[in-house]
Amino acid sequence: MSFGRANQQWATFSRVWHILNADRQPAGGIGVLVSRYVQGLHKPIYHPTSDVGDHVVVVNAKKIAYSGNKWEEKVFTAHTGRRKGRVRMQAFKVHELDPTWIIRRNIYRQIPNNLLRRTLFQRVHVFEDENVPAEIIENVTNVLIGPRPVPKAITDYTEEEKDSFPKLFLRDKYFLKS
Amino acid sequence: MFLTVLNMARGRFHGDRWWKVMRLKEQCQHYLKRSLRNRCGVAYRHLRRALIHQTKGRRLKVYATNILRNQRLEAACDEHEIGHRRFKRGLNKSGVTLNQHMLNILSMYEPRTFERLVELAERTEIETVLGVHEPLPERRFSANKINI
Repeated sequence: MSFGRANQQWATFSRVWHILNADRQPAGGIGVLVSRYVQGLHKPIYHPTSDVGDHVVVVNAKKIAYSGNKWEEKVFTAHTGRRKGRVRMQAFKVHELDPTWIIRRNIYRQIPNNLLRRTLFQRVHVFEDENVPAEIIENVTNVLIGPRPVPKAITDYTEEEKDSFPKLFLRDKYFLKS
Repeated sequence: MFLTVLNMARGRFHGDRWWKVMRLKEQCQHYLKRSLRNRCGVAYRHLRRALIHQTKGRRLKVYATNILRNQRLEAACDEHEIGHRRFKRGLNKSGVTLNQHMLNILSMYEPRTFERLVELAERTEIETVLGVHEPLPERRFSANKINI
């Protein structure tokens, strides 16, 4: 193999580190996307028994979005196996206790249930905010786009844009509580 | 194994058990256990099971390879930023009759050819469905898509 081709082979089979911002993204969609990259289904050289998966770093797991009233209405259940061992907890409470739990659960369940699942899950690194250890961040070379196009929040607008935005009525001091 | 045609014929048409045993042992030479290499009754059970698995696996292998090839084609289309259904439709319309196996090989070893095929599929769809010459989207060929 020539010198250039050897480099190409290395580049094709190397394990890439991706980073994904979970800010205002749906938890289920992230699970699907991350499990796809971790298994290696995004590569044309994919095979289930050859180790072609990549690492994925998920950041801002605290800022996940659930539509509707799911934060109050979605209930996560578990049973310890003993008597009176049923645990029921609403989504917001679970998120309070461990902000990375919901995302990790979704990703784990999307990876197919076989002996490779635990090793592949070890290649998923979830952090609740943007503080990622240096030894992980220095490996990252690619940015993944989240499944949901992020809408602009009020905090993302600049002061000039807010002032120049067309208004329905004028803010007169007579109409404001003082 | 059988050095002369006479011996081979003898094993098949006469009921000499030794030759039958020899034919069986031929298949079991790679077994690790000594008892399976020498004791024919035990070995026959293993061999029979293996041949049954092989027969049933012929269909399963086809099923599995089709799934794998489809997954690889979807990955290749994702790399080139086109939907895989759109790609197949466009290729069909333009009369390119490459099968999944060949498309996989092209996407792995001839990426620029595959890029041109993607462009062909898009162009065909635009011209046949819309009937209008539209400018094609600018395509960056890169496996890692960075959107800043």
